[in-house]
Amino acid sequence: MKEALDFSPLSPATLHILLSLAGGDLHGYGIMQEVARQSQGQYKLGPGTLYDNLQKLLARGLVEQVGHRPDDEDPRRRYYRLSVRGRAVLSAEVSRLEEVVREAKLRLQMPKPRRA
Amino acid sequence: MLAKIYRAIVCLHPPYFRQRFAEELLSIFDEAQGALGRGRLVADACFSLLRQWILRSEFWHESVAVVPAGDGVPAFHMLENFRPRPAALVDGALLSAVVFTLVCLVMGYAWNHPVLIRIVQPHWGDSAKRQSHLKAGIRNQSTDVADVPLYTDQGRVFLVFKRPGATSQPASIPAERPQPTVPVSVPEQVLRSYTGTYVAEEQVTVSVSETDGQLAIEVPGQPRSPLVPLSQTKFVAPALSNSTVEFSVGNNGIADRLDLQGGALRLTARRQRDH
Repeated sequence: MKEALDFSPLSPATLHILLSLAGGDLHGYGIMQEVARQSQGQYKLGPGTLYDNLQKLLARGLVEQVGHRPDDEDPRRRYYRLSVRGRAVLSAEVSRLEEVVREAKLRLQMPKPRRA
Repeated sequence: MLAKIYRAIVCLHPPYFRQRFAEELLSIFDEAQGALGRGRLVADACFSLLRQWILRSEFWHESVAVVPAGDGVPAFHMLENFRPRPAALVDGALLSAVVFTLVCLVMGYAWNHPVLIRIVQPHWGDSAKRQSHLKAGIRNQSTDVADVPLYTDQGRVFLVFKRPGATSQPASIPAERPQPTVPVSVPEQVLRSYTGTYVAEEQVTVSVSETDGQLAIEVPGQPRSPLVPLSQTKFVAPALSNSTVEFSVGNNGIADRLDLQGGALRLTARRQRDH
């Protein structure tokens, strides 16, 4: 848990990539589509940003490269998987965000001081 | 056309990035629809190219895999496996050589073209003893050495010796004192008001006298020098290395102070009151 907190807070691109891989193995183009779907089209990840982040996530061991899939129509595609470490980091980040959301809701629900 | 440009940009990425992701980048480009979508991908690839070369130097080359050591075999791990590329080392060496050469040239120029500043020499030792020596006209060796003008260029110290037929100052030193080109006419009455004996802090007595409308000054240990007027209160003493003598006139119209500046001489003397 302590190690997972070392990566926190995650950048929006990293968070979205880890989140998209949490549902299963995906190739690069699939990650881009999944990110667009998750954010309802508000956050579009370009290939340059995607592979720059994947490069870092692979180096840190948060994501693993699965390789090619014989059943894929495009043999150039490689698949990526969320590692155990990556899942722990994502869980820690989600918990942190939950705390932020809870605190934000509390503050927003507080009654405003009335003017005299 | 855009596909060729995109492929060229991808090929310009760092080798390790290109090796790992080039095929996937091209695959994504093939999925893009329309010229606008492809144009965006080309722009994205340009940004990626800059980012990878400028900010991601640690990923330029494949990191060495750590092989676990067997029992009893010491294992070594590199904390940082980043090494600068050979071209960067060559660039750094060239830049260092250019900077070093420039610094040497600037230092050499400054050495050969000094900006000389005159050093004002302080009077050392017992002032009373010095005054007695001056009055007796004794000039020992140390006094002679102290009379040689000293110059500095904020590092080196120069001794400038006078040579017959040569000027008293180096050519690069601007004349500090104005030369009397057109003598100013000062009334004899004013000249007489300057005459008298002036005493400096070191008990050095300076005499100012007037003969036939010509003012003269006598400083112990120095030759008697006529005073050529530069203004009503300022004079130059040619025999004292063109030192300037300025009189300060009090409220009663009589000079009560004398400032002598120039060469090794620099003193302020107050008029000795007649008892």
